[in-house]
Amino acid sequence: MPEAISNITLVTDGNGKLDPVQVYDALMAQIDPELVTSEIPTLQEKYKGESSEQRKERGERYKKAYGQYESMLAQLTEGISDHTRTQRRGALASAEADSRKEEAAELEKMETLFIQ
Amino acid sequence: MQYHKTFSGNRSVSPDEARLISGVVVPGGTPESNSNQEPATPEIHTTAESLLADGDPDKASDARRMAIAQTNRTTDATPAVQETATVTIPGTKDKPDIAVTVVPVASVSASTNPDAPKTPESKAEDGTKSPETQSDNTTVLQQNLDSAMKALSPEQAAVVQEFKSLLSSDEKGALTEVINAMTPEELSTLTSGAMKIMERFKDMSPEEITRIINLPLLGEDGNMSEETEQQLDALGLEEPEKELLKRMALVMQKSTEQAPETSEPKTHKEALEQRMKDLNAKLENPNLQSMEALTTTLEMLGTIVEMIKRALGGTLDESIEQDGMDKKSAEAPAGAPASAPAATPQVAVEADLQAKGAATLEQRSTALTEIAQESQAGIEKNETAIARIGTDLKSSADKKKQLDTGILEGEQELLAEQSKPENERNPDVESAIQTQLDGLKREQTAVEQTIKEQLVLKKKLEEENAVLTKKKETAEKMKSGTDFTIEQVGKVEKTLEKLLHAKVKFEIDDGKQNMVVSELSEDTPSWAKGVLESHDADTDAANGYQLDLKNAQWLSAHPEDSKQAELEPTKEQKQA
Repeated sequence: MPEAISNITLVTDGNGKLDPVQVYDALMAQIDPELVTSEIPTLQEKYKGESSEQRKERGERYKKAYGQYESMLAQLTEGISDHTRTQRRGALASAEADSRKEEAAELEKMETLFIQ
Repeated sequence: MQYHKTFSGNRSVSPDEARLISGVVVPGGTPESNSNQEPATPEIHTTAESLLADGDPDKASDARRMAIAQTNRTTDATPAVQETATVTIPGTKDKPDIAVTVVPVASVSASTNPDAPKTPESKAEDGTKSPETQSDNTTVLQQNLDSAMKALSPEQAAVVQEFKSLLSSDEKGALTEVINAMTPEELSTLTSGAMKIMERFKDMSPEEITRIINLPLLGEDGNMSEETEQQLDALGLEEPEKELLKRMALVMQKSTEQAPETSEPKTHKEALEQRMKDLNAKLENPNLQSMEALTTTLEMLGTIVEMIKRALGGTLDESIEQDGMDKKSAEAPAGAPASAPAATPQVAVEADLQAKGAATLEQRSTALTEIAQESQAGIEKNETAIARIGTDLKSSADKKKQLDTGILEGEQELLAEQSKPENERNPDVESAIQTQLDGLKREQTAVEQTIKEQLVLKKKLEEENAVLTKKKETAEKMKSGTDFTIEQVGKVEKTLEKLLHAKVKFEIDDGKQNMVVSELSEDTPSWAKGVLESHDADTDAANGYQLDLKNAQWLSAHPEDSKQAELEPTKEQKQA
């Protein structure tokens, strides 16, 4: 397996939602750059003189690419869901810890007032 | 048509339902409702992959639409991303792993909060943005950068912050302008580029980050150097992202070129230094006429006198604006009672300077270092004492807690003894408990008193440290101003020596500001001799010309008149 890691950055909208076209283009660029939005309209021209065998081969390649895309999309959305769940749990735990800290500080304050 | 094939659940759905959920145009849907969507794809419930089952590559376009519709459904069902998330998609045997970073643009919807930052996709129907939305681009970008900064180590973040603070206000203004003018697509591209850079920074040393952010984006010819281009490629930036960076760099370059004309000095130190530079530049002009040389020299003397005055008074670093405000606030309203000057840190430092007998600028500089060091020593001593008191307080509080418990138990024991039937009560036991209780209460009172005293002492030391910290800061600031003035005085002496062809020495302390000019040569200009002769304080040329700058009316607030007066009566000057 190749050692390098490909990096993709996706930007959400104001509601934290992903733009489907942006996701498609970013993931597909990693699978088969011929199938990104800007390239598809150029395909007919590009493969004008191809033989029927080559054409079939290309069709197979595209089919496989979309299969891979589906799988990658599922992994991405699952990863996002996992991340969000972990983050929520972390936020809750942190809020609880903060609340405990506040309580302890309050108690200490009361104690200081008492000894003064 | 097969509406049951792969759609989200196991049940069949109607075309209308499908349209509502997938957001994809279906034959039969109303044109209005579908106007902003992708063109129709009849087999919306098959997958993109199955659409290509017959191996026809011409269906790639339809397959793409299908895949996007599927993506739309899937992302709709995914929780909203509120903070940057990174998901790794494992690679295959011939493809590497993919790290996907999802960056939320802004977490609050503009529709629910009108004050919330706008997002890149909020645009008018014609694809442009309203000016109101545009002005928020910088906020949006800033939020994303702040969020990404959290992933950096403190050392890495410090380097990035330092770079930001180095940008001049002109550069910041120009950047804000260009970012706010960007379209939503451009802002998305820029954000994506910035995020990529931040991602790479995570794995770099602060030195490496410094090297990268110091790389000039553009050369003097306005083009990107090969080295920079390679570096940006290594950071994973693509052409549109690089283009935007280039655009921003161009704007910054222009603003820097314009900056000298627009930047205004903010403190007296800056203003005086600038005036001194201007005058020096003027004096270096080989074609300078003697009259102009005289005027410039007088202006230079006026400037150095003001600099010395401010250095001695500790107001050199004050902001010009603040000074004006201070003057205003110092103007007491009519009838207001006169009050004694407040005990400021500066007054305390001045008192120390006097006590140390520091009169000259050099003596003051040394003494100010000592004052700052003494203040620091005091702060450290107090901090040690505060820490010790803290430990003592803790042990006193523990002791008090023990006594409280002991007293409570003793009282309960006593109460239990007193509650016994008369024939079972033992006065000796009661008395013993009471004695023990009294002892505990006395001890409790003593511990409480100790705690109170410790708290009072701690507070006193903390207040003392606040005063010492301010005093130290003031001394350091005054030293910096004094050293700056010493340096400037040295420069002026050299400039005047060159100009007058004589030896020039300033004698400065808090009582006098004299300029002594001696060893005049044949090359000394006649206009200079005229000024020196008419202003020699002791009218004895044998010990050099002594010019009292402190009381020199001809260096007053209206130098133009006095200069004119100087120029008029001298015969020699007219000849020159």
